[in-house]
Amino acid sequence: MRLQLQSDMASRTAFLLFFVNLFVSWVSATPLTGGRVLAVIEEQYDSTKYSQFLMDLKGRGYDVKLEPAKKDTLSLFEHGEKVWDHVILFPPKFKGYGPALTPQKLLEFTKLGGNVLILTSPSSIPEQVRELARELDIGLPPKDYITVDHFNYDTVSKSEKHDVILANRPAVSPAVHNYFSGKQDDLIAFRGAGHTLGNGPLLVPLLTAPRTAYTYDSKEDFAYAQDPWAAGTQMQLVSAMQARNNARITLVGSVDMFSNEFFDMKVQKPGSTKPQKTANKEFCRDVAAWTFGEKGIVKVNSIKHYLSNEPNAPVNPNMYRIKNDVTFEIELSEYDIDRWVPFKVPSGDSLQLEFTMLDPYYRVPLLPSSTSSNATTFTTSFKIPDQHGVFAFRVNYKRPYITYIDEKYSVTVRHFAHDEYTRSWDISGAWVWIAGIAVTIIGWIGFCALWLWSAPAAAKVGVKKTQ
Amino acid sequence: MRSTMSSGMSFWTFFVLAFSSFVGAASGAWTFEDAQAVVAAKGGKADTYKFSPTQPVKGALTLGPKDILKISLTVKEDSKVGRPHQAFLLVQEPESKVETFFPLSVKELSGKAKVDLSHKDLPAFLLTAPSLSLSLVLGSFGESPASIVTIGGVEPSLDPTSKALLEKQKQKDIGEGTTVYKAKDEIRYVFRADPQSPPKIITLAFLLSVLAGLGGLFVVWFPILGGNLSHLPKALKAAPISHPLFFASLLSLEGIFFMYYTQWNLFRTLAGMAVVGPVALFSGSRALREVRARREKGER
Repeated sequence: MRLQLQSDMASRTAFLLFFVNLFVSWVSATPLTGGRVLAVIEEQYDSTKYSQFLMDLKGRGYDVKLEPAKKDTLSLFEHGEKVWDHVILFPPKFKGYGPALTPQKLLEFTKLGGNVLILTSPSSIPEQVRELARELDIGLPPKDYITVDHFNYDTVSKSEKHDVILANRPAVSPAVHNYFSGKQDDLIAFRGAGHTLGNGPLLVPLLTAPRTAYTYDSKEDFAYAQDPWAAGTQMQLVSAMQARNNARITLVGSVDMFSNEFFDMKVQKPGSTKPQKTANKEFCRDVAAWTFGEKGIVKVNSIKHYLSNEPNAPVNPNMYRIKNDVTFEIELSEYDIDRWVPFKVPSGDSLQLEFTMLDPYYRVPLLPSSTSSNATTFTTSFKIPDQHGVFAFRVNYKRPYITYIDEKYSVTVRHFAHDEYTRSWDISGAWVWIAGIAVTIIGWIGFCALWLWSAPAAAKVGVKKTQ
Repeated sequence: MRSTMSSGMSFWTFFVLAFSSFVGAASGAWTFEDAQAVVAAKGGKADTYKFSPTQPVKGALTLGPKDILKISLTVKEDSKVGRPHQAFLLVQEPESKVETFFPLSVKELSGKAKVDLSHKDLPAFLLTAPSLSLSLVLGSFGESPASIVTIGGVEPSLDPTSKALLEKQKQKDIGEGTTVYKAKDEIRYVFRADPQSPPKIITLAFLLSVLAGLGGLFVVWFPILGGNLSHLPKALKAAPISHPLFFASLLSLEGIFFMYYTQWNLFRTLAGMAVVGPVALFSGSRALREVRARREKGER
């Protein structure tokens, strides 16, 4: 009784807190993963160059603080906790970033869940960024290597150097949620250097170089690219690493992409007839939104498993029996800028449930069964294998661009109890044995009756006597 | 990513631009002439194939393990020789669109460009492909439009042992063993086969034979050995309570066993036994005493 009262109180407090929370979040509209942004930028002059991008961030509820890289008091942590939720690194004017932004500190920051957006320019890639990139298995070109493309350059800016590359958004893929493949005819202006990616599953390309682009040493004397550093679609312009804790590090090969100049620029490809506005503003917003966890965040609201054929079966029991029919449900939501929306699995992909004991015994697709305003329920049913032991329901959904889902719930699978087997009379092979027992019983009863009440037959007595 | 289609398109635009800028003459398009591809075998035998911006090499060139494909051409910026900043031979696997590049070495004065391609230059992924397409990219800074032209195809021929080695290398290159985040193959558990009963007809035959055994027993007892229940009235007269009670308790013992078989649990069965057992014991001793009395009287 008292316990119930307490829980009632607790739920009331939770309810109240929820409303307070709602109110607070409505007032401040803080982004999901926190709004404290540190922008490491050298001078006031620079910040005006990127004011549109920074204002856009502020408009979305971020509290952006601009700090020079070498400031003494600059620190990512206080008392072991991160003091920023996100960090934007603009390329430094000087050689490096200072002691607060070493690769170790940045990795420590991501370990605590912080996101990092690194903007580089070919003329200044500090050693800290190089070292970090090496750890992430991203190959950065040496200093002063720039990427050019003689097919997809901007003709409006009259640059003889062909260094403003016009890249297209990545193609829409049926198998992944690519948050960067928007309108396919968008042109994204890029001036900087591409990089290469290793084979790890945590690395994802956000913007790929055109087929004819290549990176060469701009300080090279040779009049032609004898030994380009990288070329073609194997080269990336913007890529990211999503760590196992879902912290994101995005590396952009061109800081100019994020500048007001490129946001407002009208560009024209050689051969096209009229100039077109760049999609840099939208693309850079996408990059920042994804990196700072406004997009591609998927959460599990609830998980249910129960016996399929029983209407009053308990939900999430600890034990099942072999050959039970079981239904498993998982409810997923996806965060989209400012609210939770139902999560959709791409058509070419599959959300899978595994039923494992050491190895998966089942790996079956979970299909959407119902959708509410902010969540989708995915369901599947299967028959538990005829193997007893401790099994786990596991949803291991790790895909590029979205946060990783790895849910695991153990249940015991027991054998048939002695009274759950098929009864012997239902087994035709047992009929002979059952009949044998029946015959024995009837014979015994008959024998008892004879023993008790039979009168000797005269002729037989004679036989007995002769024996 | 640009496919051959779009490279054809840019080729077309290159023509349009070449025409439109013809008057200006200062900025012609990048093109080439006197192009030939030579597949030189180690023994000295060499096959020469000519190609031009509009006419790629017909059919695929076969590139053996010891062969060298030598491509040579003269690069021209419109009509005069020149050296573009970008002169690459692109080798693409058409299915996956995986591509690699080989820069041509270009002489500044003559515009003569050449590149050699042999098996050891190609990564395992491309080398194990059934066919590869070759394109030439020429482009440079300034106004002259760049061009990308498909110049032909190559079929690398491999002997089986090196093919197996290369396949291994290819798997390694594309990240064998490293996780790829994608949907895995579906698994459905295959249940063990249910135990089978023999065919019903055999079961019924044996069932019949068992029942026939019982029938046989009763036939032997009653008609043949002369079993009868003639002493029943006598017995009932001598011990009217214990005889029916003993027989009833025997029947109910079997009944309890039957209930245990069908629905009762062990405890209920034991309770039943505890009730019926003593009854059977006491009434049985009385009834059997009566039977002994009959025997002593010489009636049995």
